[in-house]
Amino acid sequence: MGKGYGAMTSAALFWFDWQEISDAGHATYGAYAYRQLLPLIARYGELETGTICMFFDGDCIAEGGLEIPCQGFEEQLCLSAVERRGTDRCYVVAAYSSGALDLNKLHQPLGRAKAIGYLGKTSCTGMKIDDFVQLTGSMSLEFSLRLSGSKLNKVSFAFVGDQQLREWGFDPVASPDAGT
Amino acid sequence: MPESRSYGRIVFRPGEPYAPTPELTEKIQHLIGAGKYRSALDELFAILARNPADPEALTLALIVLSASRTTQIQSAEPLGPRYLYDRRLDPLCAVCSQCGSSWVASNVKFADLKTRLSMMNPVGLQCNNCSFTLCRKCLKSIYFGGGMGVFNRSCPKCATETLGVPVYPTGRPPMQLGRRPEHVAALIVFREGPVPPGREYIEELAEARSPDALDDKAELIGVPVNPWPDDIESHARDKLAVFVGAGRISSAGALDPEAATLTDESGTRVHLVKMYQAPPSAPIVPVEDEPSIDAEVLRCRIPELRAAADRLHPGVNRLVGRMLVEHLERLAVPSQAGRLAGETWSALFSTEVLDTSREGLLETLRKALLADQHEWAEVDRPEIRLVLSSIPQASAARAQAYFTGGYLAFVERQRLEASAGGKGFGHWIVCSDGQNVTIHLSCCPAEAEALMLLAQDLMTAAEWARGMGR
Repeated sequence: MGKGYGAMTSAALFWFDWQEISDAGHATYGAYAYRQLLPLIARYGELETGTICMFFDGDCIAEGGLEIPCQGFEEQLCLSAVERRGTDRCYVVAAYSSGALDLNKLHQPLGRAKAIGYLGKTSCTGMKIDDFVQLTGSMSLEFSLRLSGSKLNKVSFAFVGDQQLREWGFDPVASPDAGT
Repeated sequence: MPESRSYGRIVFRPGEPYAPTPELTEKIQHLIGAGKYRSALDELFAILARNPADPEALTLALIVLSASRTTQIQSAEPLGPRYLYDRRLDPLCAVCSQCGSSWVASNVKFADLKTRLSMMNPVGLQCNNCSFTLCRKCLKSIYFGGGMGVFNRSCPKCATETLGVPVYPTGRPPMQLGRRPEHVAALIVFREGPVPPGREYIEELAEARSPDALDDKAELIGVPVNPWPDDIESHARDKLAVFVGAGRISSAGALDPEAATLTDESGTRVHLVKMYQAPPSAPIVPVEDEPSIDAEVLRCRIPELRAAADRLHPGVNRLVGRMLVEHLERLAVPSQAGRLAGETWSALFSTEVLDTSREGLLETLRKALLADQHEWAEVDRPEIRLVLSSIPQASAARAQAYFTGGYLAFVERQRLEASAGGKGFGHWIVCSDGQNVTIHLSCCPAEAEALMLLAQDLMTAAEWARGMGR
């Protein structure tokens, strides 16, 4: 069982084709992906009102068979695109949020902005935190960030500098106090 | 047996051997005995829809139709014009060479009797040499005119034989509009005179001349025509363009409607136009058309294409894969006899091109829904230039707006580009709002004689108006 952040939780996987990002000239595709996502989180996350969110990321290297949950036609299209490319060509940012940040709100702006290599989002609706951590583990994703209000603990995150994070509205914390 | 004048492709000839279908005769006998003439013909129509010349079904139909009019009218299931005018019965009918009236040549049942046949007051007579046929009414006017009982019945056409019985079927001209695989969207009745035809009138007319319009719950529209023009077909086309432009009827099917002009029971001229929905939704095997070798060859590929689609990963892959195959399957019907010829159509029906199309459509659709805009990809192959479009709208009316300059202009540009390279042009279009999905296909083959297909739902009213005016 999870430790319980209350009923208002959302969990999602944001899928990127790292090859496309690299081919477009971005040396670090992880940095590119977070540079698309974090400003949106700052905009939609209501950081001052108790948003709590954990981020996991990495190339999707499946340990055995993967069962990715999805909802609806568009998310099926996303998984279809992942399947065509092969999961190991995908860079995934997995997020589990509790509180004011609705992760679904990040998807549409990413699509409209035509973020390079963005394949789409799949939802893990109703998933407990323990199951979500287990899923990210099976995809070989690593715990990278923990957001609590505007406070951003950089667990293993080094893609964006503190100055930039502050400009977006975050309060970066160098020493992680990670944990669930 | 004379070489009959044939109005249809098929004319029934008694005595043709056939292997009886187990229990069919008993079943028809039972239905006739119970006065269920409509049920009996329904059974036989199902067979004739598959094989319009089936000798057993035609023989049994002739027996069903041989019941006396009184018996039949008083039965549990009397036969109305819907049945009596059905095209599947055309091979059983004889037509008067003088006045054009027709009747079921039921006395032909006795034709294989080895004895000389003598009939009192026959419905008609026929020349055994040239098949010249006269109905009873014309017979009287020719041979018994002026009240003189002249029994010289030599054939007025070839004069080599005496007219006699039995009268063999000659086939009759169609009494009903044809049936296509597509769903009937609208039946428009143009009637001579200042008064618009009412619903009751139209329904009665449709029951006799186009019953599938009633079965499909098509929209019924009556239009008064006063005065009746010399060219009613042009007049009707203009009116239809106005209806389409005003959104009163769907544009689907309006470029390829079916029409007929006739005179109703009161002698008033009527022009019927039947419009079909596109894409077709209810495949029915047409009565008269025989499968062409081209349609048949392509149709033979359908099971393989369907099996390939069924092997796909469940979900959207399989869904889109199946939709593409089903779209092609609806095209490869006998009514497209000879029109699916050539390399362009053959390419569209190939596993390789279908796989490429599906993968490309899934990818463009994902992008289209993400970016909320029309996304498309091109595939250049030796025999076809293929465009794969995805539009983030399920409604065709909204999807039209995504073609800058209009759908037809887009198709024309692509067609010209393809034909410059000696290729045909194929265009799959997926429209989806993320929940509902529709698929359209355009095809401009390199071969001039092959079927050119347009995604008619994507044409704007203005494009329809231009199209109808051509």
